[in-house]
Amino acid sequence: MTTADNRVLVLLPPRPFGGRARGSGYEVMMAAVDDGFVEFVRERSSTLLRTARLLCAGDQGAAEDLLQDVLARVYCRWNRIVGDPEPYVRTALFNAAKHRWRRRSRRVAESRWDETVVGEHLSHHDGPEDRLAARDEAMRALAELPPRMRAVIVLRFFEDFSEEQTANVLGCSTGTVKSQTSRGLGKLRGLIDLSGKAAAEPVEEPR
Amino acid sequence: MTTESEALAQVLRSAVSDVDTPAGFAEAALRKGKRRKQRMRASMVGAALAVTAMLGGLLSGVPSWRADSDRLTPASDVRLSTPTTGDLAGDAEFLANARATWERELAAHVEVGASLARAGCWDAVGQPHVSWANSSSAGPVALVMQALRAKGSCDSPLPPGGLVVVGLFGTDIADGKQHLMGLDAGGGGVFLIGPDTVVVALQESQARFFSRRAEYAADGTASREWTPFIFQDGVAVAAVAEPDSSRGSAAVFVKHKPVDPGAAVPPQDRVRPVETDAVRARVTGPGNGLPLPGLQWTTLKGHLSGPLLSLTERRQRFTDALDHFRLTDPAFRGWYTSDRAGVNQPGGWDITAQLPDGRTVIVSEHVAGHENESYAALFRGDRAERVVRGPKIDRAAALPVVVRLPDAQGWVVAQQGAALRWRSAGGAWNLVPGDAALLPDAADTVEVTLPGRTAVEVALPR
Repeated sequence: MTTADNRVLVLLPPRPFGGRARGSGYEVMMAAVDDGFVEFVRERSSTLLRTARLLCAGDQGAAEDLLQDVLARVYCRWNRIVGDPEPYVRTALFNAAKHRWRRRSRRVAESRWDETVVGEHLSHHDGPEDRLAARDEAMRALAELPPRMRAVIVLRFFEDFSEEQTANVLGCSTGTVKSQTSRGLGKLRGLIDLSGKAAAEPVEEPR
Repeated sequence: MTTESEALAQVLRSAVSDVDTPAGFAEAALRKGKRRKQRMRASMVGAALAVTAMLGGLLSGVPSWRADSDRLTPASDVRLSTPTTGDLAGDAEFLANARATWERELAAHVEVGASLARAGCWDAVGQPHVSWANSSSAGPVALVMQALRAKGSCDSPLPPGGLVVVGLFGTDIADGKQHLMGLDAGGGGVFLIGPDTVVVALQESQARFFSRRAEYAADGTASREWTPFIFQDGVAVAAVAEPDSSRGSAAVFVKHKPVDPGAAVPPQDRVRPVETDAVRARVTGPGNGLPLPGLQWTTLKGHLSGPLLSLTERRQRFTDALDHFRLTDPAFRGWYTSDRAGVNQPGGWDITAQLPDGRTVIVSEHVAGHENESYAALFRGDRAERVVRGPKIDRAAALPVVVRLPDAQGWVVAQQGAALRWRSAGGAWNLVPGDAALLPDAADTVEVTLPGRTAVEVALPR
């Protein structure tokens, strides 16, 4: 292994995507836009879908629809995004979820986590039922939270966002984030084990 | 974070650790985006026309936005009417079998394998056409294509004018029978098939070079050699498998050859192949494709000592260090800043510790192809000073993570959920508080006890 005392890491991340097309002509530009967009979606959609799934309290179909809608909107603005598009997409995802919740009276009820996922996993995997039950419990608990509170919890504890970042994404004050976090944790305490003991149990073979 | 916060974070991560997008998700998003753009353009043109009509009574001409949708009409795709090429073009029985299999299995690929459209939301137009049929080391293969169109009032990702999809017909190594192996809906047009990983690339995919694997020098730095595709009748066939590769790294296909074998490949230059084994597993299996690589640990108690960094920062530092020292595959290096966020990455575990000499270390895994290896990134303050490559990780091993640190700084060992003890020279056992540990360099044996299992002694490799 090379010793590298003279090789000092400089954190200068490359520009992530060719948002601005190179070359000339509309076709060339659109091809570059499409390539960059598809590449981004291919690489990051699983990650984004996990967030969407939590925002939809475990409903895979609703999460996929939500993310597809967001990506379709983002595509229309793709060549105007400068820098890493993921923060933009992630913010758009939370905003879309917010608007979706406002329209919730018109939407189809979300599938229950246990109906859509747990049953499928139980029938096909050899993993311990306890782990699946824990996931089911987590999604049921999330489903009990009001949408805005759920978003705060997901941003703070899944995305590891600070209170300020969370407030920026959700367009509210840090005070609101604090109170929603506190209330959310209070609710979740009664629904899932947050003592750390359950989390310390090994997850033997997630897939 | 507090214990409660950490516990909640673990619960949330664990709850979605196996979530993955269906195949064809990116292409579907692109089609949906294009449709949305067309609608926006149409509504703008409509509004402009309405205003014009109101002002001047002028209402004439073909709207310019029609041009895009007209172009999508599959009837204009000349590929559907070109004669079959390839050395099996005259094998009527094989061609008939390819078409019959296509008709039988297309629905599963459209609705499950590639997730192009839901059941009842699409129609196949006309007859399937075999554009190319040839022998290969993976057996006889054929490229079949057909136009699809959206049906009913579904919100289908299929474009309004329809779409010509191309599929690979060949032999599935899982059952030894011939099947429709995978579908490409305008993305790459590069298929991988067979035990020796034969690649079938369409010229229209724009893939012009391929690299079988990343080469790793003695110091661990990675590079790739690139071979040009040779197209005949618009299709190139090559074997890309490297069965002797000690490090399972994926074959990569690019539009342009990188100037430097060690240089990072721009993501827009890569053409992602349709991995038919994964597609078939999705179509025929439990619906989740192949297992995710890596240890997939989500509950390891990895912070041992030193500064407490957020998960994002830990992942970013670790990945940056590996990229900086060119230890990662150049085809997948340094893509996006957010790629290193790690919060949602499968197998996003790490171990952090302060070493006796004051440096800090982050130990984690790096997945290359279907294999993963452990690395220790050593930092002096914020600077990555050195990266040490550990052994390949065997997820079935009693102690999957064993990395010896340089300069006699000790060993980092881990097994999620296990109780660990260590000793040296047959001395007394020393209990470790968690399931990961920084051991002194003198340690030579670790005892690993997973819940409900008997203890296993592991000799540390010197």
